[in-house]
Amino acid sequence: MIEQSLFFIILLSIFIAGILFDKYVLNNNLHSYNKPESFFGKQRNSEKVYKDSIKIDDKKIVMGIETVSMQSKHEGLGKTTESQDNTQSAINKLKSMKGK
Amino acid sequence: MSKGLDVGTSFIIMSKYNEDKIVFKDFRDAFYVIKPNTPIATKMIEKGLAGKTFVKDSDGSFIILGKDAIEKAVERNETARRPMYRGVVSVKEKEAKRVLAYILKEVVGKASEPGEKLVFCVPAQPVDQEDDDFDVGYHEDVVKTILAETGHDARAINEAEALCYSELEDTDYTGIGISCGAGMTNVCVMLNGEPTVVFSTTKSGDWVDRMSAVATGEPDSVVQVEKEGGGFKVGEPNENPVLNAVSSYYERLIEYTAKQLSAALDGHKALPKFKDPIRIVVAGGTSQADGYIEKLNEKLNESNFPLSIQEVKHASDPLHAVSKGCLIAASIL
Repeated sequence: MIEQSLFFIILLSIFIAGILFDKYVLNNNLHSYNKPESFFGKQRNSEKVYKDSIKIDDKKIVMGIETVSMQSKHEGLGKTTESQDNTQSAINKLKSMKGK
Repeated sequence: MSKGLDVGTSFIIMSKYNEDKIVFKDFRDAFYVIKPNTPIATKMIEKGLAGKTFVKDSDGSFIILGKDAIEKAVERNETARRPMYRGVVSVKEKEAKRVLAYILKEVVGKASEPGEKLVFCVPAQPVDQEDDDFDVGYHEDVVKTILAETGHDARAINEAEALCYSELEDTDYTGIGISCGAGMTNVCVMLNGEPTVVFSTTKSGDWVDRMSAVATGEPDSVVQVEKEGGGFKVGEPNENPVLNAVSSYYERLIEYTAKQLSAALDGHKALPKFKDPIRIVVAGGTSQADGYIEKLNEKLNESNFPLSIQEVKHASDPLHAVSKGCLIAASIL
């Protein structure tokens, strides 16, 4: 009986030690880092609604940006150059990789 | 139809398809304001600005835009202003949003159809600075608001991720993209088309200009013009004092970037275990200095870079690579 109780106490101690090891040793060694999400992944997840936390939206608001009063005194802006389109194979490859 | 847009601290670069070609439109992201005091001065200034790119504002001031703004600033021994600062809309410049809005609307133009897809780039969070002024979310909202007015369905992509989409096709989108802009250096580690680590540092071409300006007593715009004229090699002495300072600070910048890159990736939880040596592709105006790529390769080797490098390679078109990556992304949406 005493042997069984001792065995049970040892098992319990190992279990608690495991929890404490995970909490205080392993977690401290991990960088607090959120894996970046790919541009295409963001598009898929844009419809997700997260209900697990309620937060106030304190993002800075973009007010109206007025440009009408800026009277143009020039012809078109920007220097234009051209190059051969070599992007089609890249687009096809990315489409197949992203399952599009 | 779709469009790509590199919204950079120094250049705004739009790209779009035209039959079997890609058309790029570049515009220097700078402005310089002249406010006349009298009606006679107004007429004189307007006459003097003939042939330049400028707008007349409601308060009577003249806002010179682009390359002409830098030339005018140099002429007056001053520094041109920027609507962007370190990769995001400048909070230091009162006119920043209006000027940026004006330039973007003019360069991008109206959407060819309602809701035309447009992908523009934004920087990643910097690892070397915590600054309340650096608000990527707000910057993204500002650019989206402006582009919505031109009829575009605009979405943001990380700058270095766009570079990877443009340049890493033959490695199956596995490798590292480093975009060396004027305000920031953006980095993306990509594995099979998925970004695994993205970050930025806040020192790049503008830092070289600022430090060289302090060392030589010249305005930043003068240093910038000298620097962009070339005639120096990174890390080598030069007879021209401005270029000598530029060359020296360039080497320090590259050393700093290599050390930040190594430190940020060393032991990073999300860093993949690449089975083969990886390619590093570099783009951006700041990387166009003679000797930049060789020096970066040298400094990465010296800084115990945690991954095995196959090669450090310049993008085929360093100034347009990010915009092209945005265009590729827009075409897939």
